[in-house]
Amino acid sequence: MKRLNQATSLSLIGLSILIITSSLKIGVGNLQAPGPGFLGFLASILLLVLSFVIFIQDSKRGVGEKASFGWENLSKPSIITVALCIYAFIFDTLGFLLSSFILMTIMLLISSPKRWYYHMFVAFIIVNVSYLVLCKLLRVVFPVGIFRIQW
Amino acid sequence: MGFQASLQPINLLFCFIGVLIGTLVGVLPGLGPTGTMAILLPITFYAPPLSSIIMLAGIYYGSQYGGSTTSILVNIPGEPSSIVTCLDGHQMARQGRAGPALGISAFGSFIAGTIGVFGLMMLAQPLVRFALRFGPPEYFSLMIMGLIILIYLTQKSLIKAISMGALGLILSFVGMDIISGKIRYTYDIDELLDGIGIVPVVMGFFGIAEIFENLEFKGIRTLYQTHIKGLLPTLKDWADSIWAIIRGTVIGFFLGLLPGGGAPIASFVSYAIEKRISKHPERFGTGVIEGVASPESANNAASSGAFVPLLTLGIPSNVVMAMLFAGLLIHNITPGPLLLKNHPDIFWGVITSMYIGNVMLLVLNLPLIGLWVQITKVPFRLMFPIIILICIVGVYTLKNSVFDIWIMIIFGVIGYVMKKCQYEPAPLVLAYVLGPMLEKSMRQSLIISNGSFKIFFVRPISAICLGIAAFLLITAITGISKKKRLEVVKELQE
Repeated sequence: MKRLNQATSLSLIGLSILIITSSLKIGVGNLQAPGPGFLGFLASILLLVLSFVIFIQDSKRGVGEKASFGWENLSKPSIITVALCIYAFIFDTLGFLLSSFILMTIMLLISSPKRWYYHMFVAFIIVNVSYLVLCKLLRVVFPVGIFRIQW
Repeated sequence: MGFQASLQPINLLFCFIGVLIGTLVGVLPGLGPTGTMAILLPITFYAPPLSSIIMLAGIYYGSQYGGSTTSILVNIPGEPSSIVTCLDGHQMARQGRAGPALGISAFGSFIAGTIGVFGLMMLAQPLVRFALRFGPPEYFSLMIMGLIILIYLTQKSLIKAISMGALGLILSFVGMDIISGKIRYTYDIDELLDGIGIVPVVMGFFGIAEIFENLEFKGIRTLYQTHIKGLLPTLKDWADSIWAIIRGTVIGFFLGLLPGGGAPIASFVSYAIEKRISKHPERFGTGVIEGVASPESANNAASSGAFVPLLTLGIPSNVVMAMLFAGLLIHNITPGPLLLKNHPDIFWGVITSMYIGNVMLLVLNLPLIGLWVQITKVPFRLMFPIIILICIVGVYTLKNSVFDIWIMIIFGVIGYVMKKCQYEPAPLVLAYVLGPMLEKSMRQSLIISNGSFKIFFVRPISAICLGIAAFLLITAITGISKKKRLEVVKELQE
């Protein structure tokens, strides 16, 4: 937990430095005529200072609790994150129906991997009901993908 | 004019849909009104502006009604504003008095919500006239005060809350600067030219991140098995709770008015005050009906009060109001003092729809208690895939762009990690929504004053707002208020 806090603080420090340099590039201006980077520059300075303070505080602290970030807590969110990333990659290529079916099946399988046939059936129903409501009733346009799956 | 607009069939339908979804969201732990409103924001593209806002508003105050059901029956608050209701509500259920607890909660919410709407109507016009005197310095200072109040009321680290505010401001500046036309912080990503959309950000923080958190919960939620009977409170119940309802209403309404205030804080404060002034404070937490009536009234009154700064000043006082703010902007309607003049149908239509919505909620909540109880039994492992799919669809329909899905995923992961590290998302979201207006007001003020920051201190309203903000920051930093906050929390735990 301590390491995660430190990593977060360091990430915010890195982001602040990036924004500071970008703000200086686009122009901070002056008080009479504040430039486009003025408030961003100020906000990132504030973020830099505070993140540094948080980093120092976390470094001085003990190890603290770690249970809330063990693998048993992290497994499901991690799997879903990976599944979502794959989904975003394949969405345009495979189309809404097929990619959503794969995603739903994975998410349902996370909870009880043994009943895969049941979960595939439920995923099929949910995706098709969503397609009916969104595409047919609300006329939302989704990609059909390379296999041109639609109805 | 308001009733003329809100009583139109389409608006009645949207009001009903909003309060129904709001109650459902309130009943189900895991997805709050903010996440739900974010998910449904894209749908408002297809609906008329008044209908959209009526629906979104219905979700907000509807969720306050629904949150009490799980608090009383399952001892798990459906919403943060129902946390306090668990203390006495669930005890009443264990004593076989779930019916009166649910009943007084619904009636108290109705009374408070109705009085709150009345208060909104009374305050709105005078406040609009007052707000027309506001210039850029006043708006800048008011927004700073609002952000500081929200940060001040954080339950966790103050430094982290301020960091989140600063980060929210930075995120709001991504894209094209409207004054100079320069592109800022896009790093050659074309999709960022229009900025980072609020909907994917909020869906990530309040939808995906919440789901990730809930997936960690491994316990079994046990529903208190009781036959719920006698939903109408007895005369003694009314005698015991009527003053608690009135006090909760007043406290809730005025706390809801404040930038940074809202239903959760109102419910806590109302309960604490009720306990303090009670002749038998030791009975609080054992199942006293005032312990249910007071916070439930407060949270509904606060949800009405929160509309005042949004509709009259154009300043969202909390994250939920920020969602409504976004909903209005989608339809090119800017809330603020000119809303009453330019769109009186929207202004009064929203207010009068809240009367109607409160009546609908009373009808929905009492007879349909059994249905809501059944819904709490739906396993989360079936709910979350559907919620994620709705989030994806909602985000994609904004611009038909996969990039928004990526933004949602990224902010979902960031939101989850931030929560683990005790960073609150609310200051980030509020700062993100206020950022463009804040920058515009500041730059206009500095142009007017020729670069002198004195302009913020010589104008009385601006000076008062900044003075309050400075006072709160100093008390927070010196730890005085943290002691008081810890005392209140300790009292509630005893």
